[in-house]
Amino acid sequence: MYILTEGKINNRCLYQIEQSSIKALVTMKEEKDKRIEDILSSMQGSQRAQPDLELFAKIEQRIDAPEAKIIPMRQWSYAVAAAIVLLILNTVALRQFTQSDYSNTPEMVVTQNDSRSLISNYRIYE
Amino acid sequence: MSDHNEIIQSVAYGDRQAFLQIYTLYTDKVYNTALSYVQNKEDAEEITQDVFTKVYRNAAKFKGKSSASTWIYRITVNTSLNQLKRKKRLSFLKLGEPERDRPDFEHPGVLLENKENAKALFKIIETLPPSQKTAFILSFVEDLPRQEVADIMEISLKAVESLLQRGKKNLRDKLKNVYPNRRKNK
Repeated sequence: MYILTEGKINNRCLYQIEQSSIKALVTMKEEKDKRIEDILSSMQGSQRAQPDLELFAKIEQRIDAPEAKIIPMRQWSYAVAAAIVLLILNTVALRQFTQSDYSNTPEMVVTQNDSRSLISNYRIYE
Repeated sequence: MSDHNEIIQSVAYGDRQAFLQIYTLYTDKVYNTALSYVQNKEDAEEITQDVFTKVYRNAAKFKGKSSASTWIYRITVNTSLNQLKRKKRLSFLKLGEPERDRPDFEHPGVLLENKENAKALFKIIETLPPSQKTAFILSFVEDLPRQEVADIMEISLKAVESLLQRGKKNLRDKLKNVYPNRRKNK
């Protein structure tokens, strides 16, 4: 009987705690929602900001100035790509040219002459 | 509204008086929208200059399919987003340099009692992705009807609502990070 009564008391306490925490959660959510609404409506009734009074004169100056031609990014990238291709082709061509030129250097001529004389020394059937 | 469209047609013929009229009618809207994006007076004035130069030079291309207001707002939104992109690119290039902390933006026209909330609003707007940012600025700062926001952004009304919902969710999440100690300070 005593345990039962204690159990009843505990259940009631638990119920009350549960109720108060639910209430607190609801209040918190309501407060948060209210704060969001306050933030979102904070600009209502505010005055409009005003730009510099000279702004229209500056705009007119800009309109009267000749329009600067804007080159689109895509066009720039094509130009850069073309320049890179040209550079690569030139490098390859230059390397091939210097390599073919190397065969005519004095060292190469001497080696060629040497091999010729060597070959002439091996005329064994003469 | 059609009056404004007619004035733009006059601007297309190079009528400077008509251009001044358009400037007087829309400078507030253009400047304040730009200010909400860049949160800086100098950049907002630069954008305003760009927008009106574009209005003057492209007036002939305006066919009147949308209202003049929608057209000018659309130019403003695109110019502001481009300016933000350019600034982001520049800050990326200056990666090595230490970045100075920018103070929270205070809108010059906000009421005194709303100052803290407006500061929080602009701080959160700054962190939103471009489409949510645009929907937020046009809806909650410019206070435009949802249909006009949809027309400016060239999306459906449903898409605007969805952007705002996502923005609000972001706002809820970020509120914890922006002012975590607010309750304690109270």
